[in-house]
Amino acid sequence: MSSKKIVLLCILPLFANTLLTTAIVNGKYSGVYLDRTPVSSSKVIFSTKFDIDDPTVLDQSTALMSVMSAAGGYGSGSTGGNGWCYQNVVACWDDGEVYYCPQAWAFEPPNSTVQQWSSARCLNRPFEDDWELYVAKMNVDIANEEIDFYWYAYETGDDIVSESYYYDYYSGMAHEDDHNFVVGDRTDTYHYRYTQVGVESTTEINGTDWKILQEDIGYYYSGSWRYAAGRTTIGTQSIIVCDGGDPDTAIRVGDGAEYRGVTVYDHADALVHWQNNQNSRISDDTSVWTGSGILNPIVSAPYS
Amino acid sequence: MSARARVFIGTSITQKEVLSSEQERPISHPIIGLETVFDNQKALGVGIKGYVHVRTVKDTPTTLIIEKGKSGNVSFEIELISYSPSFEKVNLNIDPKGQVGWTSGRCYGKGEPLILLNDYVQYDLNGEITVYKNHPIIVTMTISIPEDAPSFELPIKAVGIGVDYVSVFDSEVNLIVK
Repeated sequence: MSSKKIVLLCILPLFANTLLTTAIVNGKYSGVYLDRTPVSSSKVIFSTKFDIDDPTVLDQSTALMSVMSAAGGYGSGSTGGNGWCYQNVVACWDDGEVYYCPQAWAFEPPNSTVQQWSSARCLNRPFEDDWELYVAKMNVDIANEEIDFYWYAYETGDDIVSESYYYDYYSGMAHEDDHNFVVGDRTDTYHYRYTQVGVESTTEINGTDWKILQEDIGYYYSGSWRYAAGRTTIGTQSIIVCDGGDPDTAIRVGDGAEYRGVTVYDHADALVHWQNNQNSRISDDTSVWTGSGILNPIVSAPYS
Repeated sequence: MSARARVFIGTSITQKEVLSSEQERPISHPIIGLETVFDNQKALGVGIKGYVHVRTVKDTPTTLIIEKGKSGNVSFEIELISYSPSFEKVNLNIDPKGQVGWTSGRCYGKGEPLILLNDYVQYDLNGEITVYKNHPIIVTMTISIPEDAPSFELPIKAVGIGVDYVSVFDSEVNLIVK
């Protein structure tokens, strides 16, 4: 297994050429959105674990990504009018190495979705332990017009218990009017799903059995980390925001194709466990969990 | 230079380059893999005119042990690999204590302090640096550990180096402070 330590830092504009819906990430994607009346939140969070039988099937052009996407908003109760989205990715790549990848996307007229910036960094160790827990958080920094990205990596079960972690941080540009994330969903011309978590790859990862656990999926609201009901968001239906222009262009997560061969292996409140299964598929807008309330996360530091 | 200004510079440069030549072509990668970056033709095919390669210099040991009260050095070579005659230089911003680039740290348990590599790092070059193709530069990171610092182990990253273009950072060095 490769032990090389590589950081890939890139600022890359990407373009799609559809007119009314356009993709912000060009990968196969299936996820869960938070189902509630839209609210403003200053920060969003999720944790993830990978369980891959044979990580060596992954190479430098194929990553298995666990991603959280959130629409930017400009005020209390706003429903995301700037057309900017922010993504936090934890992924397995290159013979099982793990990397982080914060990103910002925006729609720019007349018909392009542009990746404003992206910065990816491989960690100095390969994926080795099914216990390895990654917590990824995004905060809106209004004063500096930035989004702050945080990662906490717990290598073992003992590290989780003792709360011993590796820490990484990156700050990236936000839209100047984005003062919060939008959490929830709303149906207008489209069904907008403002905050999502899911699995994504450039191409579907076959040839090995794998699972991705996403849990403690939450948003900060009224002084607490909270969770809302979760429903599936698949392929073309993964619309996260519109740009507010004329025509009002909808932007979706992924390239419009579902992540075939992925199904929900297990679920609970604020938790979804994905599994590759070539003989199964899940439908869009299916309930994954129905509960809502205050999170009780397994570790405390990222939630403080 | 603020982090915001730094990112704006990089974004505007990159968008201008692509808008002029690549506007109608959809691109299919959310992140460009190293395989693409390292390949001249593949890279140009996705609008990448080259990349900045930051790597430890040859014969750097894989482990650096530093006793408290002492310091150690790790040198990085920063090279602009250009695939295009028009891509002749790139700007860096070196500031380990600022918001440039990445921050890296370690915490050994609940209630324990968060140890940040950036707090112990200085470079022999600071501020805005221009790197020209065919003229790699060497930047040396000095890690100074105070007497009262905690013991810790942490992979050494080229923290606090911001690049306004595609960059690849290689480092095999692990730091042990004891």
